[in-house]
Formats: sequence, structure tokens, C-alpha cells
Amino acid sequence: MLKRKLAVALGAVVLTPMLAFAKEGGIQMAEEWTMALDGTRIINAIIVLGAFAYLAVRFGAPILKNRADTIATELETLNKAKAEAEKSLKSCEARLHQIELEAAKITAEARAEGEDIKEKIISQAKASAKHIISKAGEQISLESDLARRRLYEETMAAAVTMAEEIIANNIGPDDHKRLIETYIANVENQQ
Amino acid sequence: VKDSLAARRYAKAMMGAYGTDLTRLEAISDEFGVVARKFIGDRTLRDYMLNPVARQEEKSAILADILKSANASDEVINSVRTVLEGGRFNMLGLIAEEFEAQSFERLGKVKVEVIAATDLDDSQRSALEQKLSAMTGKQAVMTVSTDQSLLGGVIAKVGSKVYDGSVKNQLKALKVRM
Repeated sequence: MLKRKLAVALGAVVLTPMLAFAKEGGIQMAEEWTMALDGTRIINAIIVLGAFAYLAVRFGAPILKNRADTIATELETLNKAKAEAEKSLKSCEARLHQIELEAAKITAEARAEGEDIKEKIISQAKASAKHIISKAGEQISLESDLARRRLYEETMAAAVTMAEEIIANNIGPDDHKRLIETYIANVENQQ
Repeated sequence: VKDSLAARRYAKAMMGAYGTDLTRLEAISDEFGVVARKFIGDRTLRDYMLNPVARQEEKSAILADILKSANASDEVINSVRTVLEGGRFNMLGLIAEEFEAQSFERLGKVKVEVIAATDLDDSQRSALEQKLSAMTGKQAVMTVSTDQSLLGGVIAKVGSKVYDGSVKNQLKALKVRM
């Protein structure tokens, strides 16, 4: 707002004498020095220049001073902000470094733990596999024994059946007589 | 078990009545056994005697008629009637078996069931009977039957004891041992 007023005042100071000169047909080259005319002009010029100077000092200086103060304040604020930012940056960098260290530590711990778990799993799997193999061995042995026993029993049953058939086909009256007499003689020992 | 106990009670009562005359006891026991087997084997008669609708007097009269016509002794007729009136006609067979056992006990005899692969001749029967009598300390009364599946040899059953000398049993024992 102040800048606009200053611009309007300067414009008025410059344009007024120019318009005056223009109305009079511009500056005439003086053929001879006349105090009345030329002196007045000089005084006018001095007044104009003085007005200029006054206006410049009156309005320009405070503006420039304000501007300088503003810039200084802003600079100071910015410096403070910069310092703060640098401090914050350092803090962030320190924090980041800390986090990186912690992350590295966690990663190392996780890796170590993972290795432990891996070792444990492998160890358990090996033990389990050993147990299964052992059990399977026992089972195979048991099944083999059972199969062998079953085969033996079946063979014996077949042999006895065969013996029964052979005896039934070949036993004669004499054999029966001998068996009966043997039985009578030893009946108390028969179970 | 309940029937067995009841049969024992009836047999004991019969022994009380007829057990003193040892000369008649075996004959009564045999006759009672024959009658019991006959009656139990006759389905029509058995169904009638077990029919709760038929009158007791009629049942007794019919039984007496049948037994008299078959020349049954008075002891047997009375015994069968007692069993019928006691509502134990269905247990006649059991009572006969128990009476026979008690009679044998009283007479110093033992019943032996003999099964042989072939028929025993008289000398073999006699020898076996003597041997079993000596073993049991009682006179062995044998019932002999044949069973060719024994392959050879003899089996004698004395009460709950079995003397198995059959070839079949020997093969079985051999199989078990092996």
C-alpha cells in the first residue's frame, strides 16, 4: 500500500514540470541568460530535486529500512530454521544410524536364531528319521518272523493233513489192533 | 445251573425212595433213562405235556396209561408222574442223567464213554473195562461207539476226565508241539 502511494507521488512530481515544459513548447535554448526566467527555472529544478530528495528520504528510507529489517529478520529466522533443520538432520541422521545399527543387530540375531532353529530342525529330523528307520527295521523283522512262523504253521498243518490222509488210506486191522492194545496197556497215561 | 440243581434235587429224592434196594436200583435207573429219552424224543407227547392249557389230571392219566401199556415199573411210573406234577417235565432227561449218576455212585459203578476208530472185540472190551475199573476203583460201565475220524486208537471219557489215545489227537499234539 505504501509502495503504491510512493509511486503515485513520484509520478506527480516528475510529470508536473514535464507537463509545464510541454505546454510552453519545451525548453527553449536560451539565447541569453535572464535571471527572471532562468533563475526561476533553476529554483524550480532545485525545488523539484529537493522534493525528490525529501520524498526519497521521507518515504524511501523507512521502506528500505523496513525492507532491510524484514530481510534481516527473515535471514535470522531462516538461519535459525537452518540451524534447527541441521540439528534435526543430525538428530535424524543419528537416529537413522541407530536404527541401522539396531536393524543390523536384529538381522544378525534373527539370522543366528534362524541358524539355531535350522540346526534344531535338522537335528530333530535326523533323530526322527533314525527312529523311523529303527522302527521300520523292527517292524520288518517282526513281519518277517510272523511270515516265517505263519509259513511254518501252514506247512505243519499241511504236513499233518497229509499224514492224516496217508494214515487213513494205509491203516489196517492189524494197526488198529495194535493201537487199541497199546491204548489199553497205557490208558492211564493218555491225555 | 438252576435246572441242574432242580434235577439233582429230584434225583436225590428218587435215590431216597429207591436207593436202599441195590438189586433194583440199576434196573430202575435204566428204565427211567429209557422212558425219559423216549418221552423227550416224542415231540407230540412233549408238546402236550408242556402245554399249560391241558389239565394236569389228564396229563397224568395219559402218562400212566402209556407207561402201564409199556410194562413200566411202578417206581418209574410214580417218578415220572411226580416230575410231571412238579412242572418239570421238560427236565426229565436231566433228572434221568442225574439219577443214573447217583445210582452209579451208590452201586460203586462209573459210567465210561468209549469212542474207538474201529469196533472193539469182546476181549478188548473186557480188557479195557478191567483196566478202567482198576484205574477208577469202581466198576466201569462202558458205552462204546465208533468214529472213523479218529484214524486209529481209542478215547475214554470218565466223568470230566478224557483219556485220548487217538491217532488224530496224537497228530494234533504233534502239530502243537512243532
